[in-house]
Amino acid sequence: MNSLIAAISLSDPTIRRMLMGTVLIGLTASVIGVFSFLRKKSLVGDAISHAILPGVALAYMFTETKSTWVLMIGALIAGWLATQLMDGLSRTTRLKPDSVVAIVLSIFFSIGLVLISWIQGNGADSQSGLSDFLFGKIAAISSDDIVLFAIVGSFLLVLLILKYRAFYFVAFNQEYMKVRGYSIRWNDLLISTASILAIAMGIQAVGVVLMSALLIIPVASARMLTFRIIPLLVLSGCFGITGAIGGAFGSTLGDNMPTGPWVIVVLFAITVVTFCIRAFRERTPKNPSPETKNT
Amino acid sequence: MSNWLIDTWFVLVTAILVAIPASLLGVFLMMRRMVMVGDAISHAVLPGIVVAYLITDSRDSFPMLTGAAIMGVLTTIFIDFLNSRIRIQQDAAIGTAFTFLFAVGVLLIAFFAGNNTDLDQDCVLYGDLEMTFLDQRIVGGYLIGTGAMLQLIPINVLVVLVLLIAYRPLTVWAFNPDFGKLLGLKIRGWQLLVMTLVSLHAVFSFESVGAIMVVGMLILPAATAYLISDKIRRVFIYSVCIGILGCIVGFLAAMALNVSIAPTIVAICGVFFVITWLFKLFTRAYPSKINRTSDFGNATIDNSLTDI
Repeated sequence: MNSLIAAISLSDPTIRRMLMGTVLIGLTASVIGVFSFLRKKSLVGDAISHAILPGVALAYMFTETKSTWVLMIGALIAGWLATQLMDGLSRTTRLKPDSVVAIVLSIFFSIGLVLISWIQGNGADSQSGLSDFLFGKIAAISSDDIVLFAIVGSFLLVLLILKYRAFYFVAFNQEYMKVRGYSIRWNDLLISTASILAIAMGIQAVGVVLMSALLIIPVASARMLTFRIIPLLVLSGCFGITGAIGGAFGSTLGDNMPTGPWVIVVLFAITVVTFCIRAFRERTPKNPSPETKNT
Repeated sequence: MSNWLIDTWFVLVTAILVAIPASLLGVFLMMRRMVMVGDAISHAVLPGIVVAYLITDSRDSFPMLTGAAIMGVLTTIFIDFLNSRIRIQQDAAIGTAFTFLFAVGVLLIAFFAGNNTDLDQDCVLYGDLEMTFLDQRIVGGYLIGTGAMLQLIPINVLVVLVLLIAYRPLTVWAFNPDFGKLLGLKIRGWQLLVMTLVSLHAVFSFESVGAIMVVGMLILPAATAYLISDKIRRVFIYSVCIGILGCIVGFLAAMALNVSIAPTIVAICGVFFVITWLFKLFTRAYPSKINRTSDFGNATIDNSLTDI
């Protein structure tokens, strides 16, 4: 309990760093997640976050460093390969979208686990950090990582603002987009690259298994309160930040406490609250909430 | 036969006992577009297992397994609830439900089983297939198998029996629920039955292959079989064969490379899938995207039409 009080008072520089890291991750992931949510491709994010693992393991094997920059490049390549494989499978076979997601997820993730157990079995000395990727440990974050997160995060947000129209059309009206002369394939690739970057960034904090929650739950909560895209982005970002802060404080409760699960529990609590707000609004006839479609 | 050989043989049999029901159930999940629900179940049994473990303080007790299996079925209901009542779209409902339940499970481990090596975060991921042979059961002086094997045999028998007895209604449910409704089938009942089997299987295989590898064993053999054949009966048979073959090859590969067995088996199944896919791709045995609306059977006809 003392550690929690110490955390809230922000006296410890480690806690400050941790908090900044999670907030950056939460913000970026939840804003980028809006677009995969709108395209009903939320679970693709789940597959990508699993698929990043072999990239991270290979990057570590080749460079023998655990620098976040290097691991992130490995993650980017693996995530990109995974999206290409998903794309190829859904274009050339009759497998349904959910099968394609599950196939890519399990192939990449199992290869990643094999590589990690190979690294561990063959006596590389400082391998312990790699398994942190599975459940996330934000406490191990360095100030270099924060700089990297800030750069990638702001790059993604600027990209989002600049390409807002294109992203909007990819999500809502691809036919119109084609007529207007935007390249769907190119913008699709841009969005998936953006989500891979956001996921690769967040893996450190919440881990492979739970990363998809950061992409999905904030948007799902925000969607209960609004049906317009700008408020959706803003609300989703706010929820992401709230979850991140809650998670960072939660993980200071114990010595061996993982960050990711706390973030998710806080996010789920936000979902419950937003649901109650919507239910209350719908009961008040003066201010009816927009009709949300049940899909 | 030396002891080492018996031990490794047990591990292989355990893996195969996980693979057989998974590759059969996977076909249904694939056809009903519920693979990710299966993935969600395999994650969500974790809090059930942890709670039951904390109450009973043992890993192989019957109440623990029932508790976790109920948890698996509750997950399906929870997803359904999020989707229809809270009105979160399907994919996000799955993502919300399983990440939340998994997070609760991991937190429970961190809070209550922190010093306990028997139930840690790693076993969630890798399982401990290598360790299953330590728990040997000896009846009347004869070694009859390991604890994991004895747990897995009933679920194998159950899945195969259900499939044999209810083959017609299950396939109708899997391929054409509307037609099934017309015939007077209780669609929700059959769905619940398959989901119960999936959760039972997830719980039983949790110990040996870990929660995360279950989805690979569910989808990869089934999807490979579906690429090879258009006949439902053959899809089931091929799926089981591929699952078993994947276990054998994966097991040998893991032994040779000295890596964990469970992920290697799934990776080998993935290799089988990719080889089949590439083979199909280059021999052009596939119809173009336009003709892909039908489920089974029309593949060859469509192909000849597009070739003309």
